[in-house]
Amino acid sequence: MPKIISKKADHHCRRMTAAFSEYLDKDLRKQLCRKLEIHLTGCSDCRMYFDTLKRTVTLYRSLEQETLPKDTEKRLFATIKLARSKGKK
Amino acid sequence: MKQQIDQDILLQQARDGNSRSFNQLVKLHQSRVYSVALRLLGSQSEAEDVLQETFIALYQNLHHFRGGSKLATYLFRLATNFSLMKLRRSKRRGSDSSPLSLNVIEELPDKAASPLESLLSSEFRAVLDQQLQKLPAKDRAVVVLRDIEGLDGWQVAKILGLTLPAMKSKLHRSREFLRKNLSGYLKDS
Repeated sequence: MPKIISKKADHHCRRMTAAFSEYLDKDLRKQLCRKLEIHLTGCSDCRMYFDTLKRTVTLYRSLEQETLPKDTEKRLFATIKLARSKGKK
Repeated sequence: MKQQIDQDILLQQARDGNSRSFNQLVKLHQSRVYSVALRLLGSQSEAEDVLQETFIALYQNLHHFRGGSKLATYLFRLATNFSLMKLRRSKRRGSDSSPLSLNVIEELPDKAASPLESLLSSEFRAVLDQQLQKLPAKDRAVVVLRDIEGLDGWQVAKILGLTLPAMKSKLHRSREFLRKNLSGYLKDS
């Protein structure tokens, strides 16, 4: 959470940070987007918070699919074959 | 679109008893299903169990699956539910089959390396996985399905039996947790 200076700012920033995720997902209403963007230009703590949040999400989005090991695939098809033969009985 | 049509044809053929078509469907989805299970469970052998359970369940329910939801979403739902069930069972047993039998490093990697370089390194990918494993199971599932697999919010909420606002709240909380745990690393770029 961004570092907070006053109680009033604390409340305001907390409400803003709760919306950052939706903003990143382009899920936020236009009016709220504008409000958030204005807040970000004036609040360096929130800007830093937003920047690191965005990069965290980007990193997870860039994770590649795990490779299926060949042996695992072989065992999968053997299991399917077994289920098929049981189903036929 | 064409891929969806092809899958619909394969599904119909599989329902009619064509085992080759069923195998083709498996091949199309096996890596994504395995990937989701592995990220949720953190163990290769358990992910393999879930992979098998998922496709056996598909095989047994072929006639009930009408393709109303996309096959991928249906498989994600099966794999996620099987994984969460496994996690609940192992929690009850109090076993520490917990994650990262994946031999992951305890500390964040050398912060001197630039994030871009690190982004490409397997060590850093392991760190991302390690942090993911620290989340509660359902929160982890939200991140895996939404951010890693790229499903939309409604799909994730439906798979996990959550309302959309509840899913969003879990997603934000999880992202914040991950951000906090990775922040030392992120600042240096």
